[in-house]
Amino acid sequence: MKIWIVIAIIAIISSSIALFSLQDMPLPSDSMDRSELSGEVTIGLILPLTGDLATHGEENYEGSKFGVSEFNKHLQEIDAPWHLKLVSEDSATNPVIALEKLTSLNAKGIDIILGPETSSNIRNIKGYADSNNMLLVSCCSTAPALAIPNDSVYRLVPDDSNQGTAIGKLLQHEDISVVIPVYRGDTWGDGLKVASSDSFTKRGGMVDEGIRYNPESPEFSASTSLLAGKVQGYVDEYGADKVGVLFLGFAEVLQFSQSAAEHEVLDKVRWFGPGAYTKLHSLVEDPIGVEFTNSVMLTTVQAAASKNPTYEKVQAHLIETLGKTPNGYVHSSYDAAWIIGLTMLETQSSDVTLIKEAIPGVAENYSGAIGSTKLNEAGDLAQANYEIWGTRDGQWVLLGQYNYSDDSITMG
Amino acid sequence: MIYDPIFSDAIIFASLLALLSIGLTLTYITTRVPNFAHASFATIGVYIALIVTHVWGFSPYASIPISFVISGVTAVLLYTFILKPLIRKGASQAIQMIATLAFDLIVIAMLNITADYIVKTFQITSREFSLRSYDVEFMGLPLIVVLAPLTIAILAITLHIILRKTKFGIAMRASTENSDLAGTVGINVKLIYGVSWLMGGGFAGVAGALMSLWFVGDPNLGPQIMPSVFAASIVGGFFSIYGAIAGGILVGLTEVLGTRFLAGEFGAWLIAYRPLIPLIFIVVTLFLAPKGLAGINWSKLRRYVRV
Repeated sequence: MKIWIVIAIIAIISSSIALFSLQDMPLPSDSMDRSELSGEVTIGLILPLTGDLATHGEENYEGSKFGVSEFNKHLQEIDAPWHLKLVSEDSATNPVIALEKLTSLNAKGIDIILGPETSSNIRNIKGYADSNNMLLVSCCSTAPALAIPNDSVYRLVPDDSNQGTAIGKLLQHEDISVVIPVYRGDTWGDGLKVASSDSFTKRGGMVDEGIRYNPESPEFSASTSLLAGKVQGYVDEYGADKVGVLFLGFAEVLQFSQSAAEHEVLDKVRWFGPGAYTKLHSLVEDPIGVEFTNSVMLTTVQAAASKNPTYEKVQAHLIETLGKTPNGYVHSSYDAAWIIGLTMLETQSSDVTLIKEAIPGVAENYSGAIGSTKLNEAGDLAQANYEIWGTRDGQWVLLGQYNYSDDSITMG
Repeated sequence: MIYDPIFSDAIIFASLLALLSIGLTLTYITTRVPNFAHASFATIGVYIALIVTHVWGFSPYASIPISFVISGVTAVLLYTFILKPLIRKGASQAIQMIATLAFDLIVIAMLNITADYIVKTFQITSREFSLRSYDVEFMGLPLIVVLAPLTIAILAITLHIILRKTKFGIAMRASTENSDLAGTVGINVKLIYGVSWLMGGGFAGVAGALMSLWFVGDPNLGPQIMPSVFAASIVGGFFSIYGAIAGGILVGLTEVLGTRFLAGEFGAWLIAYRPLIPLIFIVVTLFLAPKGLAGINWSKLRRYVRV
């Protein structure tokens, strides 16, 4: 008797879940009839809301959400009979989970996706997206290896071959002779390390083989000890002012700095970095972090966003929502939502093939929170100017600008 | 002579690993189930330390007793509501092991919810955080360098006294060696097991509170360090508390100092392969000494070496 009661309860619960799931599923008109837009048009969002990049992910989620909300207001103003609906999934900063989420969205008939955020995630899901005719518009992925024309990936950031060039120029500008890269052992870290090293070597600098660390590592004592040994060797040979450490990582830069602060020689040389942790709050809030980064005059480069009314509006909204200054990629997240929406508006369709064809033209004519969104032939942001930031006196300070067109740096 | 901070790093890592390994071994001795959620009990301690430090404004060390209780109670919940019913139904060891894995996923999900709540409510970084800056100095060193090994020493002595000198300890040893026989002589075996799980989970909580001062705090910290904890317990023999301590120290020191030495000798590329070290320990131990350090006949080995 008991077993029948249990089976009955399970059957009732399963039916209820199935019913609710059906309610959440997009209507056939959303996914099948793509010739005319009407009602709710669903797009997906895959961001790291947990895991290593959760802080960034949460900020970019708010940026995307604000982009969709503002675009829907625009649709209302022009009396369009449709609006965008965002279905969000958490990649957990994990390439395997990102693929699971992508397949799940595809199964629901959602084939236009904002995100994912990291190059590792995109690398893992790109094959699936390509073969299933999906569209990925990423706010933040920068790995040069993913700059591929005519694929399913568009990126509203310049790829890291440009950032590497800017870093190489910055090192030369700061009169560094030898640099030791410390970098994440993943697609992004490997790509940026190569790009930065090539740029600096071409300018006459010397690059050590560097230290490739495991991004999952919960502590960095062996890496910092090895780094201290290397730095000491170069300091003895070239002098402390000629030696630099290039740390290519994400938020783990704080823990690395805390561990590095134990080694006296590591705060005698200059440290440099990428946009991935530029303006990272924890670095200037943590007592050890702030002391160390001030001491090494940490200097980073970040893709420059042109300050315009849309930029200011997004910035003000996110500061109010998050209670802190957001990372520099939130503006790309906002613009990604707009570009997808505007392309649908122009093509009057949610057909991926049509949208892929139309995106470059729409992006070229749209001026968003990041300014010009013109894309290059690989579908990545064409403009590649960078801001130079640094931690000085316990806060992030804008120090200058790198101009890609004439490979020059203007400080001040 | 210049002091290399890697030695204190190695001492801390080895001590925390030993502490985690003691708890894992304690729970394995009683129920014979490798508890895959064990390291996440430590992560609970990490988050309690975060709340105690950033929300309540106390030292991270103040979180130790709270972490012991909350992580211990979580372990008891796993034992009472999941493992005990499964054991009663005659579930195999594999099923129980999978149940602990499922419980681990629940704990990680709860930790993610907690992390989100902390961010939204208190505007505090609750992922990829570290409380290292909140440690205090003792004789020119961070206090944890002294406190972590001291905690192991205190625990080892306390456990030795409990197991050898108290009625509870004798009952516990009897229950683990032959639970049916222990039950027939009036020992409340289930209570003994429950207390063992409370202590095992509690030790993980204490380790977690201390880990917050050295490790990167994140809801996924547990699965990241679990291979090292298992390696420590397996090297120790999985049935011996003293073996767990020795295994934790051996695996911990090798992971930090071994990686550093090998990277210095053969190239920095080796740094990224540090996670292989605990796996190598597991494989080598299972092949050469399946009963771990505790199962080796040292006097026989010494005689063999002399010959």
